[in-house]
Amino acid sequence: MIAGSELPDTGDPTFAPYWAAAKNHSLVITRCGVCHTYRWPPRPICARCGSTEVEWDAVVGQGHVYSWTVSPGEVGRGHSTGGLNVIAIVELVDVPVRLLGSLRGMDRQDLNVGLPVVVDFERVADDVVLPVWRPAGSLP
Amino acid sequence: VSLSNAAAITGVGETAYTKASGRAESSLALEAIGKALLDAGIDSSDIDGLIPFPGAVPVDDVIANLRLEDVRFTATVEMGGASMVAALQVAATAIVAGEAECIVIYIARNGSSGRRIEGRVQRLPGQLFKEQLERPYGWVTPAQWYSVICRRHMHEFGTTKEHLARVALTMRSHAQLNPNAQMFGRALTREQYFDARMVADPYQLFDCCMETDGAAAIVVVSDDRGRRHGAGVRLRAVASARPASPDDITNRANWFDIGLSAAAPRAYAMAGAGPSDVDVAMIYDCFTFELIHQLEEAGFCARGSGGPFVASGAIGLGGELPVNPHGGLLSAGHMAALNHVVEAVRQLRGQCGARQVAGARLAAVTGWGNLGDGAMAILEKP
Repeated sequence: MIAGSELPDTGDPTFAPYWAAAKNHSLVITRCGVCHTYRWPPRPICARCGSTEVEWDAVVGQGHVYSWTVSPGEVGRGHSTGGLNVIAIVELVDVPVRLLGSLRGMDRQDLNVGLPVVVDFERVADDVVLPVWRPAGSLP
Repeated sequence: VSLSNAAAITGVGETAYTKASGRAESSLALEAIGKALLDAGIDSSDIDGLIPFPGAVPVDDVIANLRLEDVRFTATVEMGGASMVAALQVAATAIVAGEAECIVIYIARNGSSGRRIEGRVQRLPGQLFKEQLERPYGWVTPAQWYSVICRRHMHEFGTTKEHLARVALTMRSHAQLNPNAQMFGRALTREQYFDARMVADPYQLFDCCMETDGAAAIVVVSDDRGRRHGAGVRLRAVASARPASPDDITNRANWFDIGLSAAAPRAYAMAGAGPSDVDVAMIYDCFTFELIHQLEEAGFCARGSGGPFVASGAIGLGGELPVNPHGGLLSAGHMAALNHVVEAVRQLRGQCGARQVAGARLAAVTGWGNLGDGAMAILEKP
């Protein structure tokens, strides 16, 4: 496990659809059920129209690195990155939302703002699949 | 009714700043408060208001220990590290409203030997989505959160590690002139700075503030009372603000718009003064880049030019805008900027010896808390 990390509670009512989608290798984002404005992280109310209706929408899972950081950390489950925890903030290409996640398969010296990335999914426990990011073109 | 020149600071007190106090936080708090009362030349029975740092020694403990009989105003400002500067706004508001006449603002923490930052961040807003979307990836410390803002600033404006080094080395050199600084007597070389362990790229060890055991306290009274006192430092202005989505950096539209971006113009307008009128600045230097960022947002240089500004030597003693002569959170101690307020008061009184900024008449103090909450006070020589 990464230093300081803990598995999410995939049964949490606000986030259960996110984790259920991830298990099916789908990346979903919340938007308002009335005016369809995207909002992330999930929030109980639409700041634009005031509706509490929520719907989950699948996104294509491509983006660019908006910023990044690397911390010391042991990464388990076969995902060796030299004992480093590489984290990227990814700006999605199809919706105006940024997501945070681990960035796999990159050496420190090749990390760059603007790097194109694609989502990948890692099973980290029997019922938990985490979305992570990889350099575009690196997936089969 | 305005808060401008409504209140004054007549007393300041600090304990020693150490890695391990070996004392209860309440003992530290009472020592700092006692010193502040002595400095103000008043008795504890004069206290009728208390504002603690959030989560610090509760006001009831202070009331009980000092046997205070007439505390009629208490408040807590929840702005993380901006809370102590924003507390001046609350104190001045209470004084203007007649709710209190003599307010003590204090902080006490065994921040090094006791509950460290990992425990304190549980108080942050947005816990639910942080547990769900951030903790699983190990994005859990302030160094990590702010490091991405720094990285983005490097990308957009060309800020460099050399700029960050300049901040760390300047703060450490200032601390060599402050016998109460935690890093007094421990100089830092450029080589040591660059050889230090990585914490959250681009932040290495000496880009990060210290954690400190100790306490600080100040006495705030009405401006009239401050004048009668003679050495009351006047609160010319104070303002606080929060950024958009104060619980979340990731999806904030512009990462450089922080609370201070809105608070600073309000403070200058209230003071009837601008950045160029400020003689010495106390900037909330939780990390090296946050000092650069706040210099920009407080208007001391243009957005994006903070790196070259610090590299020019502007923030050192003798520079264009001496910053944190006491050594700051990076090298003096972390009392959430209440020690910055203490230093501002002492600078304006001309009590700082070897680190005194000659002729300091106007001081600015900033606070930064949580994920970009901000506050700024402008203090004036008695």
